[in-house]
This record gives sequence, C-alpha cells and structure tokens, in this order.
Amino acid sequence: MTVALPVSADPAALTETPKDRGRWQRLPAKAKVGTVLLGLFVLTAIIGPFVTPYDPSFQNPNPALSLQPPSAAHLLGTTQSGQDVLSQLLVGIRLTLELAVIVGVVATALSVLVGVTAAFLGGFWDDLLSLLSNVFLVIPALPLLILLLGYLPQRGQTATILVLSLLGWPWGARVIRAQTLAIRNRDFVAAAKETGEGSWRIITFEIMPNEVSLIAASFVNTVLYAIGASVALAFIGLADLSSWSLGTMLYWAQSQQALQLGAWWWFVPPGLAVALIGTGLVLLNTGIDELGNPRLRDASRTSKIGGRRLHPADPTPVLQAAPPPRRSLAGLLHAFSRDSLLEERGVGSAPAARQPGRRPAAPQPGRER
Amino acid sequence: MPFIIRRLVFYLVAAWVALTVNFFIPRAMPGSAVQNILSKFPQLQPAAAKTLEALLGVGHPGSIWHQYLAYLNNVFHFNFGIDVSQYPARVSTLLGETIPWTLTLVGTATIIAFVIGTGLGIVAGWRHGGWLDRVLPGLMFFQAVPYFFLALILIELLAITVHLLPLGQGYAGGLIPGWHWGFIGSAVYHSLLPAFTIVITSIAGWMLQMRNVMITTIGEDYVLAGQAKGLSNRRVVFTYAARNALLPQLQGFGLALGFVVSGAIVMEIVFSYPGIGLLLLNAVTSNDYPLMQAIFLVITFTVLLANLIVDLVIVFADPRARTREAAR
Amino acid sequence: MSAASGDRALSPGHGQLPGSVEAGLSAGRSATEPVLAIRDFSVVYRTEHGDVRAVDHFNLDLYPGEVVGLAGESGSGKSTLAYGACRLLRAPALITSGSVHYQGRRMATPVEILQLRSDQLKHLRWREIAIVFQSAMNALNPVLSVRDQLLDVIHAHLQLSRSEAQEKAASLLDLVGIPRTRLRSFPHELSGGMRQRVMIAMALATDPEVVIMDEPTTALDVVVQRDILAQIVELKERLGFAILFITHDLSLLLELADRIAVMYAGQLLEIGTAREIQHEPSHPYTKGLLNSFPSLRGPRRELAGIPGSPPDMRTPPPGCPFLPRCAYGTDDCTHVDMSLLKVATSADPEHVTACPFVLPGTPIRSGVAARSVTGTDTSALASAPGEGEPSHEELTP
Repeated sequence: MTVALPVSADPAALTETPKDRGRWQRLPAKAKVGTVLLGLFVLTAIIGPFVTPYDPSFQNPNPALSLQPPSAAHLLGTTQSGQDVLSQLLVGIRLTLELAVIVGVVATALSVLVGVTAAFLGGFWDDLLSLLSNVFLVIPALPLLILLLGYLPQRGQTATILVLSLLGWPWGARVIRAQTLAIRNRDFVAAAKETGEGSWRIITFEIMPNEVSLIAASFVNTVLYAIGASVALAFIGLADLSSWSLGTMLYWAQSQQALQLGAWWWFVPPGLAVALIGTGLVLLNTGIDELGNPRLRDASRTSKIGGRRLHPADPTPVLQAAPPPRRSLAGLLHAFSRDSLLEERGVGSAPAARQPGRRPAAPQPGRER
Repeated sequence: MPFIIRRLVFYLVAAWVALTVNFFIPRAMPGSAVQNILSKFPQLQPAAAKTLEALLGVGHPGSIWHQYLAYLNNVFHFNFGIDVSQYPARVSTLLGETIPWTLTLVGTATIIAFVIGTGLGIVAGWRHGGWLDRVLPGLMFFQAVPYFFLALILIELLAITVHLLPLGQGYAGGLIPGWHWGFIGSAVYHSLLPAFTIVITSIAGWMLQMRNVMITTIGEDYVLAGQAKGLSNRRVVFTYAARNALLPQLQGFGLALGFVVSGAIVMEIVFSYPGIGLLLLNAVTSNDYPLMQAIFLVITFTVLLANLIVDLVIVFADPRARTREAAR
Repeated sequence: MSAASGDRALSPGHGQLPGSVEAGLSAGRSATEPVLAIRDFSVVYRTEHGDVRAVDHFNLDLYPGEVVGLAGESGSGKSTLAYGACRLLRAPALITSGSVHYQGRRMATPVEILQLRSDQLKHLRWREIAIVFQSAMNALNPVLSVRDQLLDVIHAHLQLSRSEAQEKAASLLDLVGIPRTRLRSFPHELSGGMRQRVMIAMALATDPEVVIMDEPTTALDVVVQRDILAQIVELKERLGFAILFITHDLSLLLELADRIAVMYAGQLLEIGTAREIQHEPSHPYTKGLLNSFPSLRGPRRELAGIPGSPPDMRTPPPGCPFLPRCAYGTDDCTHVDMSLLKVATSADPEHVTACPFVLPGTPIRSGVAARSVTGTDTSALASAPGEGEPSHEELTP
C-alpha cells in the first residue's frame, strides 16, 4: 500500500511564532543605550558648529568676563581669556568625532586588508604580516605616537589622523585574520573554489559577509582607541593648539591651571564628553558581543526561579505540590505558591485543549504505567 | 620549539624593531624639518649639539650603517647622550631619577587593580545575574573615562574641596629624598591619590573581562563534571572554573600593559608626579628630542619585559602552553 | 573497600544522607526493587519566550546490575532526563513534577533525590550515581593532571589516608588498562580512547551503584569504541553497577543493553528488552529507527529514514508528538494520552508502548500518513484495514 508523501504537516509550525519584536527590540539593552548615547553626540557634532552662541576663538579682552562660572550669557562659563566654553565644546565634539571616525575607517580598512590577505595568502606572507601585527601590538602605542608627532613639522589634524591610523590597525588585523582562517577552511569556501570562483570574488562574496559583525566591532574599538589617543596627545600638547578639539580644550584648561583656580566648568564638560562618548562605544561593543554570544547576556531573569537567584552549582529546583521538608529549595518554591502562575504559562496540569485524560498518578485497572 | 623560547625570540624581534624605528624616525624627516629642529636650539653647548646632530644624522661622518651600529652600541651601554633642555644633565641620569617613581606607582597600582578586578570578576561570573551585573554599566563608564580626566575630578573632590590628600607632587616640598621614614611616608601619602585613580579606572576593565571569561568557562563540560563529582563549591569555582578562566585573562593582561602604561604616564602630568610622564611632557614642550627618544625606548623595553614575565606565568599555569606549537 | 575505611556519609555531623547505613550488603532491600525509580518526571526550561517542555511525565525503573539503553534523536530530552534526575541541570531548568527514588546497596531506606538539600546531594553524587560524559576532552579539567582529578573524587567521598588514596588512584588506572605512568599526564596528552577510559575509571572510583553514560563512545572511532564498550561490560560484570546508557545509536544498544527505552520529544515511546525491541518493535518510531540503518547480515533492502524533524517544544502539539512524521498516524492520535500500555503480543511481560494503535505485527510503513491539517481523515488506513492490522481499538492488555 503506497502512501503519497506530502510535505509533513507539522501543526507546531503552523502556529505563528510571533516575530512582532522587531530587530531593534531584540538588541540587548546595553547596545540600545550605547546607540542612543552615540546618536546624541553625532547629532551634536553635525549641528553643533552651526549653533554656537559665540565664536569659540574670540577672546574677550574684558577682564570681568574671564573665568566666569556658568551663567545665562555663557551656559558653560568662560575660559581664562573670556572664550565661551559651550561654543568650544560644540565645535570640539565635531572635531574629535570627525578625527576618530576617519581614523576608524582608515585603520579598519587597513586591518581588513592585512587580515584577509594574511589569512588568504598563508605561508611566508602570513607569517610576516602576523609578526608585524604582533610587534606593533606589543609596542606601547602612546610613546611611539608622541615620538612620531613630535618629529613631524606640523601637528595638525591630518598629521594626527595619519599617525593614529598607522598604529591602529594591528588589533583588528589579528582578529580578522583569525576569523578569515576559520572561515576559509569551511566547506562553502572550498565549494566556491571548486566551482572556479576567483579569489577576489570568494573574498568579497563568501567570506566578508560572515565577518560583518566582527568588522563592526573592530571599527567601534578603533574609534574608541582614536578618541583616547587623540585626546591624550592633545593633552600633552601634540596637536594643533589653535583648533578646538576636546583634547585641546583640556590642554588649555590644564596649562592655565583651571583646576587650581577652581574653574571646573572648563575641564569637566570636555572630559565628560569624552567619557560619555567612550561609554557609548563600549556599551555598543558589549551589546554586539552579547548578540554573538548569548551566554553573556544579562541573566537576571533566567537565573531567578521561584524568587531565588540561582548560581551554577545550585541543584535544579523542583516544583512541588506537597509540602516538602524544611530548608529545601522546593519548600521555598512552595511557599511562594507558583503553581497557579505556572498553569498560566501552560506548565503542569494541562488546559482543556491539550491531552485530556492525562492523570498519570492514578493506577488504572489493566494499564501498565 | 618550546613556547617560551618562541616568545623570547619574538620579544627580541620587537625590541629590535623599536630600536630601528627609533633610529630612523629623525632621519626620515624631510630636509628642511631637520634644519627646523636644529634651529630651535640656538645656544647649544658643544656636547649637547653633538648629541642632537648624532640623533638627526647630520654633520656626522660615516655611512648610515656605521651610524646605526654606533647607535646600537650606545643604547646597549645606556648612553643616551647629553640632554638638550636640561643641560648638562645626561639623559640616562634623568631617566634613572624618574623611572623608579613610575615603576613603583604604576606597577603596584596595576597589580592591585588586576587582582581585585579579577577577583570581582570571578564572583560576578559565578553569580551571573546578581547585583554585580547591575553595576556593570556604571563600571563601563569608568572604563571609558580617560585616566587623566578622572584624576582631575578626584583631585577636585578629594584634594581641593576636601583637603584629604595632597594636590600633587611626589612628596612634600622641602624634603630631601632618601631612605628614611619621613620621606618614604610622604612619598606613600602622595602616591595614594594617583594610585587610587589608576585602580578605579582599570578595575572595571579587568572585572568585565574576567566575568565574561568566567561565564564562558562555567558553561564548559568540565565544570559541570566537577559538580557531578560532588565536589565542594569552592573547589568547583576555583580549581575548575577560575583556574581555567585565568589563562585568557592573563593573556589579556599582557596585551593591555601597553595601554595601562600609556594612560598612567599621561595621568602623572595631572599630578605633577615626578615620574617618566612628567619628564615626557617637559621633553615635548621643549622639543627635547634625545630625551623623547630615550623615553620611548625605555618604556617599550619595560613593557616587553613585563610581557615576557606574564608569558612565563602563563607557561607555569597552563600545562598545555608548554607544548603548544602555534604562536598566539 | 571494606566498611571500616568509612563512607563519608557515615561521618557524624553535617550532611548525612538520610537513610544511609554501613557499607556492604544490607538487609531489607530485595533484588527485585529498582535501584533508581523515575516516576512521572517532568522538566521545563523557562525561557523568555515561554516554557519549553524538555521531559514530559517520564517513567523508568533501573534495576541493579542491568544495562538500560536510552535511545533518541538529538533534542529528544535524553540528556536532560539523565542530568535532571541528578539535579545537575542549570537555570533556567525547572523540575515540575515527579519523583526520583534512589535505593542503593548502602541505603537502608530509599532517598528521594528531588527533596535532598544541596549538601546531601553532594554526598549522593558520584558516590552513588556517577556520570561518564560524552566528550572526555571537554569533561576533563585541562589544568589538572589525571592523578589530581582522580584524587579529587577520592578525597571528596572516601576517607583514605594520602598513601591509600594514591594507591587507589593508581589501581583505578589498572582497572581500565592504562599504565600507571599516565597518572602524571594532563588530559591533552592522552589519546581519545585513553581519555574516555580515564573518565570511566573516575566514575568507578567510589564504587557507585548507578553509572549514567552519556554517549560515551560517540566521539571515538569504531575500533576504539568496541574496546571501550567491551571494557564497560567487563567492569559491569565485575563490580555490579547498573548502567543507564544514553545514545542516539540504537544499533549499539541492541548489542549492549538488557532493556531499551525509546524517547522522543521528551516522552517515552517504548520500553522493552533488547531482543523484543529488535525483533518485535511496537511503536512506529521504533520501527522507523530500526529501519533506518542496515544490518551487517541479512539480505539487502531499501533503507527508509523518518521524514520531517522533531517538534518545537515550546508549543507541543496535542496527543502524540510523533504524529507529524508517523506513517500510521490518524486524527485519533491527537487524543492519545501517552501512557504506556502493555504490548499483548510480546514475549516480554514488561514490554510497553505509548502507541495504542500499532502492534509489532503491523507491517512496516514509511513516509508520512496522508492526512490533511483540518482533520478530515483522508488516510487509507481508515478505509482499508488489511493483513491482520488492528483498527482503531485500544489494545486490551
């Protein structure tokens, strides 16, 4: 007796699992907060310079206006030479972010290039490039940056970008190389090679799409590094001191003894801005991490059962109807009367639609259990 | 080749690269830039002028190769030349005065931060979902704060508003450095705030890292096997989970050393702490190139050495590392 | 190991297992009582998308010295069952019903595992119920030597002096045929087969009553697999422990097990002796499984797999979970309550199945029954019963 073979009618698949939680909803909370934070700063960077109340470089000769705390006229106070701190901040955010993003793009591009090339070529080139990456990774960046910038004839934005990009690619290159190696050995790449796809096509269409999140994480990290390094360099004085970036603001604040003079409004806003941008980036990165490795996600909901937080070595909790001996976990669970709650969730005794007659405890005549 | 020999060779290569880069940077300057630099030091004493010229490769007889060898020779004999801005001090003397300060401060603070951070990370990883996890975003903020900015804030709060700790310096003015209690006490007192700053900013990083590694490690089968064996919780947490989680954590420590040092150096500026950071600032402001280069070399070598030590610790702790073939 | 060397459970003070007595044979427990009795056992995983039923009202008895095989696909819940019975599952797992009675040699009265405290469990684990994990490379601590890991177990449960413990560790390696020099080795220095043997030696260190083996040979090649299995059988004969052998490889169980339990989607579908399962399988799933691999002997025949894939356990379908893939399925199957019924035609009095409709004698069918979703029955089964096939009557026991 032959039977037609239709597509198996799986009732479970027919009940639509709700995908109403859009892609934004499903991101971990950390990533959302980070994105919002960063979004705010990017917005400020874009429109900031257009809405500055004053010209940031304008030095007001009036001594009464020097080092004034925040007031209605100057929302963030003034500097030693009467300049408006808020205006400087608005311009500074753009400059700093601009620089960091450009460095991020250039350095990430470099690291992708180096990483993929090393993984793909293998052999001597791989060894060489890996050695180079590792060497520049282990040599401390800031002293070298100081040296390079110190010797360059001009220390402006371009020079800084150049120098930062030069030292910003090794970390990403290492990570991308490792990932590319792993992917390269996978079957679908071998299949592509068999069908005669050229190497560049394989790289672009087979390998790269799998590394997008890695490249994104690498970019975020590089931007973080660029901000930190550029601010540190400016703070030492290795920047175009006539331009207004967050780092140069801090430099001037420090050199004019803002701290000792109690002018907190001069150095707190730029520093806070750097810290918040950095936090946003770190949160975003952690969020991306958690997306890839769900284990790291905030487990405050899942590790709590029966009102009690469980740690890994706790025995599996038991839900019981009958009162168990004292001091046991089951007793605590019973005390919170979770039965009704569980029934709502469809666990325990069955609601009407499912499995009628399911009472396993009662022995029935003639039926084996 | 045993792991540790490979690592040693690698660090030697890195050191050589640092030396060579250091040698070539001044010579890679466009011609006019060299003149520019030389012209910044109009009243140079002959000895200092010679140092500068040797550094920049001008007016010195001999091929590049000879210069290179001479340079290497000098480095190995700790002869960095005569300082140009603090003439007639020798560069090596200046370095010798400042390195111990930085080393003690940064070294101690970093180790304290690492130990405490890792410990907290173990707890946070084991009690995943507990209150420590809720503190995480706050800690991330501290991780993102530049060292020196936090230093400024802390000085503002603890030294100016409340006169709890000194404003800066390495020790109270007027004291003569030496091995006596008055000086040491003052030095320790003055190092409290800088050390505190370093600890606060870096502890978050170590804790986060250890927490993540712990969570991944706890998910491994051998930790479950440890529980299944009926071992005490302490044994499972420490010998089965934490000991394994420590290995990637230590590797991360090695990688992070460069950043730690960089951050600490800049922070010293804020505190006017008499360490290598302050020296670097002075060198930069006065365009003191011999000093800048010497500082770069010293910092680099220290970091490389520290990395080697960390590698030794890893080899000691991880039985697999002793036979591992592939480079990290 | 004499009683004098002392079970940890005997030591006065904290953490005694209720009911534990002197080691050695104790009166009051007959040989026909199961050493591990799992009754009505259910486990759910509490996720943010709802509760996932991993094990559903599971019943199984394990008798002393017997080998019970637990067969099922990946995701059928067999590991969840085994670890859950020892309460080794981590959050978000929750045991929602049932009982797990343990009554080993050393117990005067049975112990209810689901009601033990954490410290009591620590004494029960390994000492009485040991586990051999699937992948020894992952289950052995990479930073501890073999000796240290053996000593861990020994010191946790037995009161031995240091030299006695060392000797015990060495003798355990002898037991599984590994040279004593390997005590100093680390797990990564051993071959796959050796690692698995070390796992087995570790499991037997405290002379347990029950050994749960979770796919112990899946990661090994066939030659080593055979060696290990032979070793296991030999040790079982010698030391007398019961084995719960979990695997997806039914053919292995046919050789190894005394009884076989077939599991699907968290539920027990059929239990019987190995002989019965092999020659007189009752449940359609079992039939399908047996049909899925060739036998080494006998005539060549066309292989048929089981189409489809296991159900989504978040929204379990009503009735029999195997229905969507079953070649004999009808709408009546949605009302089945999955209790186990005796197979009347079986030589084994304990042979039970969850399918009321299909008997061992029912001819083997493959593919999926053609039935529409809305429930109108278009199956040929209803219209033409043939060849001694029962129609939709409940089996009378």
